[in-house]
Amino acid sequence: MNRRVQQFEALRGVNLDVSKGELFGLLGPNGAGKTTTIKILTTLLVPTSGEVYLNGLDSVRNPDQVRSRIGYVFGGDKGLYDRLSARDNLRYFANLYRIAPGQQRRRINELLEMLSLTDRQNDRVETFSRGMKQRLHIARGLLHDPDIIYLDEPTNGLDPLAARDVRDIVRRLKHSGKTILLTTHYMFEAEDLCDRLAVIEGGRIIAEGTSKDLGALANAGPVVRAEVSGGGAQALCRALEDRADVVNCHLEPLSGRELVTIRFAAQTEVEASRVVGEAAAADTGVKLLDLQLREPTLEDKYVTLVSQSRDKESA
Amino acid sequence: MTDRRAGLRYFASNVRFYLLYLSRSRIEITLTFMLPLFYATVAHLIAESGSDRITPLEITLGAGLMGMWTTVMYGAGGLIKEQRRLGILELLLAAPGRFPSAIATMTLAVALFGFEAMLGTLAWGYLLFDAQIDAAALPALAVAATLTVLAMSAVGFMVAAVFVRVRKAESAAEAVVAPLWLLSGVLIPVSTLPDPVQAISRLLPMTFGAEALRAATRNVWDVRAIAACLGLSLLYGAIGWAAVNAAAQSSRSRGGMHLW
Ligand SMILES: Nc1ncnc2c1ncn2[C@@H]1O[C@H](COP(=O)(O)OP(=O)(O)O)[C@@H](O)[C@H]1O
Ligand SMILES: [Mg+2]
Repeated sequence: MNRRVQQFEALRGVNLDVSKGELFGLLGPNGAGKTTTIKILTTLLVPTSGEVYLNGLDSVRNPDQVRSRIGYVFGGDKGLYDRLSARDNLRYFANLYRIAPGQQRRRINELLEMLSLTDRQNDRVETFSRGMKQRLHIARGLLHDPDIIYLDEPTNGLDPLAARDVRDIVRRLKHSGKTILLTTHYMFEAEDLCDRLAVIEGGRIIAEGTSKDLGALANAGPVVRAEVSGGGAQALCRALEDRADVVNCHLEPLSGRELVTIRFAAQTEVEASRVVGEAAAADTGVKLLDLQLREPTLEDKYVTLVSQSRDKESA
Repeated sequence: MTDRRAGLRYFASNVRFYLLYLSRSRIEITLTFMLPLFYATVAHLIAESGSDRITPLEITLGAGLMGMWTTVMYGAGGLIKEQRRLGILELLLAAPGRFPSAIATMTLAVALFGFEAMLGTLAWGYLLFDAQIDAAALPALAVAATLTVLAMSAVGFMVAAVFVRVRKAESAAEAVVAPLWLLSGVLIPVSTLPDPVQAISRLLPMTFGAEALRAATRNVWDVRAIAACLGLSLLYGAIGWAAVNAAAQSSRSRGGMHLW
């Protein structure tokens, strides 16, 4: 499917196939097109061209039938009436989803229990922590017991513990047989949760498969971490990035020195450290204090995938 | 049949939800309950120094209607704006029910909220200015009051439609509140307005709502006004419904402009 937003091509050919019961991850940096994709899938946007099918149902043509079968949850602390209680909020959306009055109470109690909100159900949402709001938002999306759940960056802005709670909930939903499409910009989160992933960048899917597949797809080599002092770290980074075998170079100021992280494409460790050592020696403004090597993590592989796609785009 | 009953039940329950939501806002409460009392006081003081052709009850009702106008014009748009800020509008659109019906629960709640202020104003008028209600006129008053709420929510629905469509509509809505007081004859009878202005007044359901209400205070059933108010309210409601639908459609196809 494709999508133009005000003459802006937000998506250019996204092809996804998610099976029943699967937890599929859509992974990509900010602005990649994850939310736009989800909005098309949840019928909030009509694609400029392309099709969306849900159990054989054309969701562009039959939005109403699709809406009662899907749940939609986004991250951030929005999506709730903050001056009212958790229970009031749930009751309102239960009406909106036409859950029979006789069943509402049971369903709401069940969800409050599942998301550990029973104790605070009668408190105003504005007094809730970010994590509680996110859990309530998830409860809201589950009221009508949808088969398919869209989670758009559900851990965005949560502290590590609250984020872990949300990931536990996602895992439980998967075990209960739900089909889930989750977006995130954290590689570790995608790896932790998802059966399969697609990496999206610039409105295109640039890689798809299990996290193992993605690791193999990314032509990632060793990562060099160099601590340098003197003012020339930026020039050093630029010089290194000009090399074909360097994927990217990242600077991080420490007290009195700077940490330079250089990600190499397929390259031996010996060669990688030699390259960095020589570049530092050639630059008189830089003093190399320490140099370490490590294997590429999945996060590095993800960065490599995205960077290589961006380079191709600008070339 | 039972489907319709269930539908009404959901609708009523959600109107109650929005009434509760409105009553939790300090600004909303102040605007809705303090202003009419202020209007009522000023109106009585002005009336006392002038002619006594209109009764204290009519003055109090007029002040109450001014308050209702203010509540509806600020409240209907304000609710939309607030829900857009909270990211809720798109959740309402993503729900299987009809989007305009969700918006209608809000505008009806706002009109009812305004009506509560009207009741407050009546109590104030009774206590301070001897604005008495004739018990025999109660049925006529009840019908006229229901019509008034309907007329206000129909106009509120159109206001809400504009707010769904246009992000920054508030200044426009606020600017028309005072002219609406004049045009709809809640302050002074429409017959005292210049002819071309009267023609505009006749397009507002509230003009007839106010007429019916004034007649009802004298236990008179102004059938012409009641019918006109009802007809215009339904027309406004239909236009509002179509406008909200159109805004939702356009948001789906044009993207990100209106609902988030
Ligand atoms: N309403 C809009 N108007 C113009 N551009 C938009 C709008 N919404 C999104 N975009 C653009 O579309 C692209 C994809 O956005 P989005 O799907 O929100 O990305 P993500 O969720 O992956 O961060 C971005 O470049 C963004 O700037
Ligand atoms: Mg997003």
